[in-house]
Amino acid sequence: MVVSEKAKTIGVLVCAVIALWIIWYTHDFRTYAKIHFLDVGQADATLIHVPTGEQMLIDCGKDSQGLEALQRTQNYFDRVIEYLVITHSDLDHFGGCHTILEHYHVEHILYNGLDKPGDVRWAGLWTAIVEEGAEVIALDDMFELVLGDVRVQSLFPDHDLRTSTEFSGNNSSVVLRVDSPKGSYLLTGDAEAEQEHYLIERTPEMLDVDVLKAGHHGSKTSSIEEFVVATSPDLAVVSAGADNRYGHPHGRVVSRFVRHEVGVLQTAIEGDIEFVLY
Amino acid sequence: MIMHSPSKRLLAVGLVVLFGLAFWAYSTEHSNKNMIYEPYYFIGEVVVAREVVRKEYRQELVTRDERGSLVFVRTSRYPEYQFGQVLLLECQRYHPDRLNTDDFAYGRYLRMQGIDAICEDAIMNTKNVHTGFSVLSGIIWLRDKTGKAVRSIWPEPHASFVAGILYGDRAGLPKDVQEQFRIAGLTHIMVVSGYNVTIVANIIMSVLRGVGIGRKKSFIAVLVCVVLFVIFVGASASAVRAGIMGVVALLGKTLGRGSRAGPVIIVSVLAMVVGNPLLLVYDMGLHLSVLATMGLIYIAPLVEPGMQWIPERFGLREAVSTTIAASIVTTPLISSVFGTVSLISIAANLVVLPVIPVLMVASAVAVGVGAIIPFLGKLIGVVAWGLSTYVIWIVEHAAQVPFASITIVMQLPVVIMVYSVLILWWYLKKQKPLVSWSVQ
Repeated sequence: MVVSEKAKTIGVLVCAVIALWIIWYTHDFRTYAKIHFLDVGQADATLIHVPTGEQMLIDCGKDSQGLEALQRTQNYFDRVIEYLVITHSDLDHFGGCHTILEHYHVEHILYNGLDKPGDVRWAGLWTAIVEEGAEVIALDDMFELVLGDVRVQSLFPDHDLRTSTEFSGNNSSVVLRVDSPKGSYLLTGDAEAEQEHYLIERTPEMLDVDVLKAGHHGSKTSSIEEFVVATSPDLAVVSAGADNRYGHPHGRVVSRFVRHEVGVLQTAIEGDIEFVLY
Repeated sequence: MIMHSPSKRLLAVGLVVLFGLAFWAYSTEHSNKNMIYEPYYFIGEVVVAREVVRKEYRQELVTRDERGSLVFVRTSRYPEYQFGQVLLLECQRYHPDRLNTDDFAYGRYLRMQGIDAICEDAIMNTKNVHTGFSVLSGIIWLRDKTGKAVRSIWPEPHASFVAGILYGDRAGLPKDVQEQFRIAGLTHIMVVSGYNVTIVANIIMSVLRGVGIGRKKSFIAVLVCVVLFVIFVGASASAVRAGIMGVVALLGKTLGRGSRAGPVIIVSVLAMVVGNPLLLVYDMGLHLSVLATMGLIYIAPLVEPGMQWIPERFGLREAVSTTIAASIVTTPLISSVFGTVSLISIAANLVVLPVIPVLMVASAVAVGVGAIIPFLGKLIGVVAWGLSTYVIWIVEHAAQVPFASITIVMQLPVVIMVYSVLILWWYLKKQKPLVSWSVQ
């Protein structure tokens, strides 16, 4: 086959464009550290990643939407999640973990140490975790972790929850404080009034942040007056599905934030919400 | 009354037998209507007899009870059950037709797969975890491994898309993406069909011919590969059909059109339905598959003369005419059953189909290499990743075009009319009768 000079030039150009395009999409251009409040419907999933490639995922959403959302933030070659935090054993926080474990290599899994007897999905997740070979850490004390220039501290659990029945369900959520050069964040899982009171009592000096992820998807059982005052955020993020049947975020909670001059951002309206950490 | 050639005689006899079978299956089906048995409570040991289908929130099991009947069980997503596992099952057993709805005769579909009963509100206890080894469990294990390799190379939805085009497993594809594929008229590329098999067969054929192996030997090697492929994808009725139709299409090319390909189709359809004639009446996949193959053999040559303005290079003209032929032939049936016609289908197919063979080779190589050296697999996977991004992008945008898909329900008389026109068209162009009868 005789190929003209013109055809050759076009061929080379097309190949070059394709190569550039592939490099653009596969190369890690993430020179920023970011926190993403992922839009996973009526559920929770938050991702922190830093330019060195380390990633921490806090909750996985309730189903495969978790994976879909996560992959919107990922680059082609990085298939490792260094830390996965499961705040507590509600389906809308761990339901998507199974699919994520299928697609990613997860190195460490942190949770509050409480089992959920009789829940077949929870049991199924643990079978998958054992298969994955991840290191599982049941939190029984506060800890501190450094990802690049980001410091992640856990405020709860500060003791072994298995020794008493005082905290269970939503009020056993792992609570994380994230400090970065460009702002601080508080992630409280599904913590309700009871746990918020406990935090105010135990670690009041560590609650003041710039952005609060409103507890329990903005439910009226969370973000109590005292807690909003103690955290004094500029912004509150609500992770809830559009037109969800629980009516999250609750009108009273939203007006409470507004009264304290806190801006409210919702994943149902904004989609994925991201902040640059540095 | 004499028929000219043996092949025409075969064609005529085959057609008569097929219609007879179809009529018989249809009438028995209707006289059986009243035989739906009463539900009863079942307690007993069952074996998981087919590969377990895992969906987002549930699993679907086909189990065999001690009397040998197949029982379909829908259960929660966890705990996961495996093929070959022995379970103690307690449930209310119903006739499969209980699942029929106005929209979809799911129960009938299950019966076509040989299912005798369905179970609801099942309570199951694992009796025996050790599943033993069989050919089928080996294949399931291999496919599981392949699935893992695919997921470790590509992100979603690319991973599920690649799994779809490689071996028909598109279960992981998000619902909205599946819907976009349907609107764009491109779902067929992710189904194990004669089309996939033909591509695989053609690729192997040209590689073998390229390294200097004779035509006959190559053809036998391709046949062996097709058989292995069909087994790999699960050897279900539809996969076997895909294998047969793929080989028929390949033969159609070699044997020349029309006269000899016709009987081959008839005989293969007969071979496929002889165990279960009900397929002939109700299996939509079979109908579409046969129609598409006939379109390629009979209608494509009629379309081609009108496509002289398209350059012949890279097989472009052939691609266009076969795409158009397959669309013309399948559209009336799709419209009468699903009530929609994809207007964007031909255009979308034209821009997508040329990359599919490359995509299949690129992804198969990446999966193969990736199973041994994961990083290298990922590196090679970049090619398939780029190509699948292109396809998914096209599908997404094609589905958004206004009037990409319109609602038209063709009634039976219209469908028959359209097909009659098609047959007439073919007949007139051919200048000789479909079956030559001469009365003396």
